[in-house]
Amino acid sequence: MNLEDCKHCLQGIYPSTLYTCSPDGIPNVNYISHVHYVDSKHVAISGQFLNKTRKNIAANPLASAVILDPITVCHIELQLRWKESQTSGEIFALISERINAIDSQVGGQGKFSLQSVEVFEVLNVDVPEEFHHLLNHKNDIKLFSLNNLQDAIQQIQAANSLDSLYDHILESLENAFGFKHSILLIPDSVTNNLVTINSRGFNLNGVGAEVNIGEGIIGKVAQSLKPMAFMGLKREYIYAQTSLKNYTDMDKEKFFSEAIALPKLTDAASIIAVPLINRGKLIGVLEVQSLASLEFKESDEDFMMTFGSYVAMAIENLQMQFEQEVAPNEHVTQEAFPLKTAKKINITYYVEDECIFIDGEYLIRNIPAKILWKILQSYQTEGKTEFSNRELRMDKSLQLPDFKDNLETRLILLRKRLEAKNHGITMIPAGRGKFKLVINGQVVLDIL
Amino acid sequence: MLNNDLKDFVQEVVAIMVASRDKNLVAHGTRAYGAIVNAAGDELTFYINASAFKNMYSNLLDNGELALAFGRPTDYRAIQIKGSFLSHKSADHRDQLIIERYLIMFADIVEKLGGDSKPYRALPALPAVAINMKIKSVFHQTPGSSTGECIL
Repeated sequence: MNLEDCKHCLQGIYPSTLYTCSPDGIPNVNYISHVHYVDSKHVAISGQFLNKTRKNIAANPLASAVILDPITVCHIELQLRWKESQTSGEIFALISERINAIDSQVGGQGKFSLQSVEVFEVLNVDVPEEFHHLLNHKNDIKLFSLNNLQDAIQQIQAANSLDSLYDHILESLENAFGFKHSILLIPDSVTNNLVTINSRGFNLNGVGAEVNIGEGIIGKVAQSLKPMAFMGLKREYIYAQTSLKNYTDMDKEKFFSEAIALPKLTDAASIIAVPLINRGKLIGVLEVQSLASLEFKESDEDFMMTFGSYVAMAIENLQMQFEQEVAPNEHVTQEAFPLKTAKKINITYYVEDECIFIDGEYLIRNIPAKILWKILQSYQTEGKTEFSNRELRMDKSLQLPDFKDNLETRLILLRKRLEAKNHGITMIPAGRGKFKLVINGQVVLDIL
Repeated sequence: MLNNDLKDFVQEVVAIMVASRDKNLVAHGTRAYGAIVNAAGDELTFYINASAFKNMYSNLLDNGELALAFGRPTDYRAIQIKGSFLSHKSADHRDQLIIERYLIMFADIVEKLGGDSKPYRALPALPAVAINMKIKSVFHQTPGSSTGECIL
């Protein structure tokens, strides 16, 4: 057996153990959260909480580790020789990104950070006799093929609007790959955050939930433009939380980033998050979650990355198509006030924070908030109920970016947030580039 | 030597990994399937697979040095006990009951953490050997600032 044969045991699903010996002959054993594969001859171990081990290997570099097969729990012994301690470089950066993501996810504020990685040469790989019966175990794990990928891509190609594309992306993940719990986030150039534009398979839809770039697993993926897969997530959270004690107070940015709960499985055991990149630019982040540690295979990350590149292209193509369309200078109809109930809908716009609360509950901020405020004012003063994307795009008060304003996506976000909160305000698509505002109640506008 | 808290911890269903070392000062590890502390708290008996014991026995005869890491999967509380080999015997009926109970309860914990319990229930614990050791020292191993500190 060689290291390549047991690469699948190095995903961190189960903890490993590292065995060293002091020069005076006292053995030492340490639980290791994750033994990382470096290449066919080397592994790396994060150097947190390994004071005694470090002393031992500096004096006596011969060591061993026991890793577990994630399916059969077959124990495999790696005979090792310590090579070096690294505090920078590619391996260090790779492991550090994972640890930082977990640190950020549990609110560690950088306390659970990587100090060094210990790199070991693998001298031999051996399976103890009592586990030999597991070596011929045939697993029934079904790997995805290009057909699955092709199915998923065909489904997203059927979308003819951004709105339907956002739905198709998550539907196709379930239909083609069986990934039932997924989230799609897109970057907002104004706030420099990621905003949830769609989710599937969660109790809360979480549309509008924000993630700061660089925070948590999703934020780190967006920052590094690299995918991340965690298979023993519950274990890694527990490990990180045990190592941490203090949490900092919530600031204003944190309020907005947590005002809408990000859709998540509270007991998620595995996650794959991939950046959606087109021509080197971040278009979004796609994340799938599962309650089972073994739901995702090693190759799933590659499929997700390939699928993600098609998704990124599809999103950008449709965004550009809508932005470049020259809509006719349509006559905007003045409609009679729609039938209303007597119910009052109290809408407050906070100028400084550019956000809207409805009946005391946070709804949305930044450009979507400005758009809603704008159309509500028109509704109240002129009785206007039909709006075009073109007129919004021309309205300088909205401060849309001159290039790639992402207006359609912002309107989808706003519409979905209004639907989710169900305060009696809805936006209904009314033909290409148009929408209708329907209000069931009496709006009371307040500005602070 | 072990106080009641540490005795309880060692005897509850925690992961136990055992290190011995050969004459070339290379440490090797194997899994233990349950442990019991004597009333005085200065001796520990743990169970390992009989085949694993064959490999370990030459180390025990050569130097007798042992290190055991006890880790609770639900919160990562961990300690390491170091000591020396005293004796061994084949696991009897009572020992087997302890081992079987340990496997079932450990598998349940794995399942609660999102893992598959079936392979844990089927871990090759039996036939087993009970190893008795003298406790010399105990160290904190819970990840954090006190990792490695000597408790006893």
